[in-house]
This record gives sequence, C-alpha cells and structure tokens, in this order.
Amino acid sequence: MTSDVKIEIKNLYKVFGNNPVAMMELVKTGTSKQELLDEYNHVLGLKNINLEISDRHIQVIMGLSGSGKSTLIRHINRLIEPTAGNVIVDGQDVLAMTRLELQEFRRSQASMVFQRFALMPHRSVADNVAYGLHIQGIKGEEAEKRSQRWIERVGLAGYESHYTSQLSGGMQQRVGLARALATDAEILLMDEPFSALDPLIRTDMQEILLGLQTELQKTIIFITHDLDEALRLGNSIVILRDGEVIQIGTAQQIVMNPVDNYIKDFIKDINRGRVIQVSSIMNTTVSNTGPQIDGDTVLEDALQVISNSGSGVGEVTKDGKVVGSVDVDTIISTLSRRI
Amino acid sequence: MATLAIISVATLICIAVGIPIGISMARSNRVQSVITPILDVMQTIPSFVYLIPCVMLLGIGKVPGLLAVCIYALPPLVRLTNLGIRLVDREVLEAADAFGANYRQKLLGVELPLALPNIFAGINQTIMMSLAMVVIASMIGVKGLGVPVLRAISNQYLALGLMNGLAIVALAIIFDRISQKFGQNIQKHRTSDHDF
Repeated sequence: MTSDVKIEIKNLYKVFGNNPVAMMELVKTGTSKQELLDEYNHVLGLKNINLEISDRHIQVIMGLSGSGKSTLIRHINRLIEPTAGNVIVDGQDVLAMTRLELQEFRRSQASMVFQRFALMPHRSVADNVAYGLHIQGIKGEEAEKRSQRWIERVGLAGYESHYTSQLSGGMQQRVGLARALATDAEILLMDEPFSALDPLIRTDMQEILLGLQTELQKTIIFITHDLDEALRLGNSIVILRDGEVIQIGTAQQIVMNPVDNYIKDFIKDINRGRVIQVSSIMNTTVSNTGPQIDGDTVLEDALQVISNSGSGVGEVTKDGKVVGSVDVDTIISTLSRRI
Repeated sequence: MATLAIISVATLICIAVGIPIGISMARSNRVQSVITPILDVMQTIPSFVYLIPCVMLLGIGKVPGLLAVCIYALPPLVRLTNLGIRLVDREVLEAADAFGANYRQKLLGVELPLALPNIFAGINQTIMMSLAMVVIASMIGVKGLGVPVLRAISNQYLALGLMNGLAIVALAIIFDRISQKFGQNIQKHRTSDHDF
C-alpha cells in the first residue's frame, strides 16, 4: 500500500496565546502542556507533528476532544497559522503562499466538510452545493450542471430547491459532502463530518463515502473520535493525544500492536472479530489442507468459512497465491485475548 | 407629504451612512470602541443642544432639520448592523474561507445576507425614530405634521394636537408594516419550518 506522498507535515507546532513565538523555546526544551498553561498562560495545541499522507488514501486522524485533531486539519488549508513547521502539499509549501495563491489553493485543491455542516441557511440546496463553483466565478448553467451531478450522487435529487433548515441532519451533511465534491478538489478535508449524526445515518454516510472513494480516489483526511469509524474508513490512522502523535499505522497495526496504555484503552471495546484480518495472525507455513481465504478477510468471516469446511485450518491467500495458513485455535485465542 | 419626504430622505441617508459604519465596527474591536461612545452621545444628548449649532451654521430650513433627524435616527441602525454581522455563525464564515472566498464574496455572499434580520430591525428603528423627531425638526423650520403639533402645544389646542399627533402615529404604523413585510419577503427561508 505504498504510493506517493501527497501531503507532508513537518515539525509542526501550534501554541495558542498572546506570545506564541516566545513560548517555542520552552516547548522545544520539553516544557509540558500543563506547565505551559499554568505558568505562562499559553495553550499547546500541537507539538512536533510529523506526518506523511499518501496520495489517494483515506488518512484518519483520531483522538479525543482537545487532542488537537481539528487544529491539525485546519493547518492543511491554513485556516489556522502554525507557530512553527511546514505543510507541503504536492511539493508546494502552503505556508509560503501569498493571500491570492492560498485563495486559489482553497478553491481548486482542497475542499472541506464540517462537523456541524456549516451550510448557508439563505441558500437553497442547489446553491449550497454550487457555492464553491460560484466562488470560483463559475455561474449559470455550467455550475448548475456540475452541482446537479453531485446532488444526485449523494442521493438528494428532488431536494434542490429546499432550504437547508428543512432537511434532517443526515441530509444536511450530504449537502456538505456534495458541496465539497463539486469543486473537484483532489484533497478532501473532513472534520468529524459524521459525529453529529445518529448511528444508523452515520453508517449510511460511511458507506456513501467509501463508495465515492473507490470511484473518485481522492486524498481524504478524515477526523473522528470514534475508533470503529476510524478502523472502518482509514487506510492509515494517526492517533493524537494532547497535541502529540502517539501512533501511526494501519488499522491492523494499531489493533494488534498498540504502543501504549492509552491506545489499549481505546481498542479494548472494539469488536476484534470484525477488525482483525487473517493476514495479521497467520503463520507462514503452508499446509494446503483447508479452504482458501483471502488475507483481507476478517476473523469472524474466516471462522465461518473454516468451520463450514470442517478442516480446522484455512489457507491464507494474497492476490490468489497461498501465503500462509491459520487455524481455528489461533483465531479463537486472538478473538478472546483481552489486553 | 412634507413629513413623508423628510423621513424618506433621512432614512436613505442613514442607510447609506449607517450600514458601512456598522460593517467597519464589526470588523475591528478598536473601531467599535471608538464609535460606541459617539453613538451613545448621539442618542442621549438633548436634541435642542445640537439644534443650536445646526441653526447657527446652516440657518433655518430643511437641511439643518434633516441633519438633526439623521443624528438622532442613525445610532440604532449602526448598532444593529454591527451586532448582526458579529452574530453571523463563525462556522459558516470558516466554510466560506475554506472554499476560498475573498473579502467581497464573504461580505456580500455570507455576512450581509445572514445579518439581514438585524439590519432590517435597525432600518425599522431608524424610521420610527426619525418620525419621532419631526416635531422637534419643525421648530427649525421643517414643514410637515410637526408644525401644527408645535402650534397646538404653544396655544394649548387639544384637538389640533391630537389630530396631528395621531396622523404621525398612522404614518409610523404604515411605515413599520411596509418595512417589516419587505424584510420578511427577502428572507423567506427563515419562515419555512422543519418538515421532517
């Protein structure tokens, strides 16, 4: 799963307060967040973030409230200015851009979806979706045609002339999603987009997003505080705490090898059978006795297949080739292991 | 008719001056802290006090009358424009920023439309206050409904005063209803209910 780096974040720091630059020395010499707040009355938002986001992947940024995740995503399109560090998109330093270059960058390269929708209440659904296009100066039929396509794609056909206050939360966020997609930007910044929705609608929206992603292949930065959502959507997951990166990895790596107790706490309540894939626990001896299971299959499904075949062992395949095997005992012990 | 004319002109002047001042107040806290006490003075100082220099400089007639009306009627519009823009949802503004809106696009496309209910309340207040000023303005030679009221006061003609006073009230009600209705019409989306 390696590919080109689309967005690179280097040594990024953000201190909130009256004199953040003066605080940088203290932060770099190891003053803690609490100390900085108690003694100097400055808030440490982000501390030495280094992150490479691959092209055409969904990068999930996860953390609890106050961990700095919303602050981090706003650095990518520079809605927040960092105190120190670099944000490089496609080899171009976002922080070095002039006001006009930044405006152009926001218009054409990075669009955003917000937690509380942030739709324009005085515009109809169609006008909201076309907002990004109107800003770019695309008007009339062209804008209408392009936005109509996305309205249909997110399942809102027939609601074009409604105002957003007439829609339910889930539908409002579809408008938000369509608005972000309509500009054809390659980067999609999503700041807890589904957190305000109820669980069933949230699952629906996740499916819509995954469906769109297989088709569009955008670079998506997705923020959430919900681990199930993170594991479901993310090609790669970053876990933040108090403005620091705790662990970066795929869903498998995080569930199988949590780096500390904080992450262990996070993952203890998840359904391991639906997250862990057989390739994570297989041994590489090939026995050629059981049914073939693709490496990406989750344990729950693998268990079903193996027990149906009555063999007790399954052959794990990757791209159609057998690469290892997994037996029922290993699966059960992985499922039941409490961390 | 003379009353109608002076009120219409005063309102237009107040809109032309007041809304830009309100916008600049909403932009910067410093401007706000400078202008707020000026507005306080304009609203609370007895109108006769500034009628004196007005008459000294401009003489008797419509122009100083208009100026007096404007001084009195301007503050609510400025205040409410400022308030309306400051109350615009920060998240919606952030969204406009995230899509690369420039200053003008944000002001005309987001801030003013969303501040419109407050701005309209301000325009409404301006009209009402300028009507209240017509009697005082008539003291410096502005014609209209204020003149008979003034005469009624000085001669203690109850009936004449009442008649013309009620005429001013009637005018006020008509203006009020028209401006409120107009305000509602250009922001239909607020009246529509949740139908889900």
